[in-house]
Amino acid sequence: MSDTLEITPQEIQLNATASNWEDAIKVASKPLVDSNRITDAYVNNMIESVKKLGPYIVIAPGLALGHARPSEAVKETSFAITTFQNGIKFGNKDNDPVDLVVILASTSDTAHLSLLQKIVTFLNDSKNLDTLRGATTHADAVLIANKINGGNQHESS
Amino acid sequence: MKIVAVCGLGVGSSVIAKMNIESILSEEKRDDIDVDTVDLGSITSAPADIYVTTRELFEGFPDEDRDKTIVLTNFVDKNDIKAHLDPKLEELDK
Repeated sequence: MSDTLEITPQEIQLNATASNWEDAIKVASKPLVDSNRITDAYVNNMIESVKKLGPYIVIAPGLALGHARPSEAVKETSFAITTFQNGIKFGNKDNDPVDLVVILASTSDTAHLSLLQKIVTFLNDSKNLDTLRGATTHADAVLIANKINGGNQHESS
Repeated sequence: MKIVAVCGLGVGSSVIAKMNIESILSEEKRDDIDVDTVDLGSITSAPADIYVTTRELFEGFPDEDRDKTIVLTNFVDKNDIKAHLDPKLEELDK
C-alpha cells in the first residue's frame, strides 16, 4: 500500500509566513494535523528533536526536513511541502535562511520510503526547486504534485 | 566496501543521503559498495569504510571515525555529494 502513497495539492502550501523556525514547522505541519494524519505531539517531537540535535534538519540551502521518529503520534504516513515568503533562521551555518520546509511523518522505518524517493528525485533537479519556489497558485500546486508523483521512472527498479 | 549515512534519527536526512549515494554509485557501476543508514547514537555498532553526515552531527562523532567521514552541507544536490564522495572512494581504492 505504501507504494501507492502520493502527495496531493492539499499538502502543498505556497507563500506561507512564519515568525520563527518553530512556527515554520507548525505552519508546515498544518495540513497533516488538520486531516488527523499526525497529532500535535508529533509536531512537538519534530521541534524537540531540533532542540536536542541541532539544526541539522536543514539539509540543503534553504531547505528544512521536519521529521521525528515514527511513533503513535503518526496516524498515517504522510508528507507536506510548504514554501515561505520570508527566509527563516534555523541556526544552520551553511544553509540558512530557510524558505522551504518538507514535513515527513512515517508510521514505521520503511512506510515513507517510496514517496520519499519520489520527493528526493524531484528535489535533485534544481529546475524543480526553482519551480517550487516560484509557485503561487493552486494550479501550480497541482502541477508540482503531479511532477513528484509521476517522476522517477528512470530510477525505480 | 560499506558507506553509512548518519543522521540524528536514522529515518530522514540519512535516508535521503543514502538514496542519492546509491543513485551516484549505480551511475558509477559500483555494485561492490553497500549503503546503510544509522542514527548518531548507534554509530559504534555500524562499522563502515566511509561515514557521511552533516556539520552539526560531525561534532558529536567519535574521534576514531572522523578521518573516514565526509561532511556534507547539501544532502539533495547529487553533484555536490559526488564531488565529496569520489575523491574518498579513489583514496580507498588504492
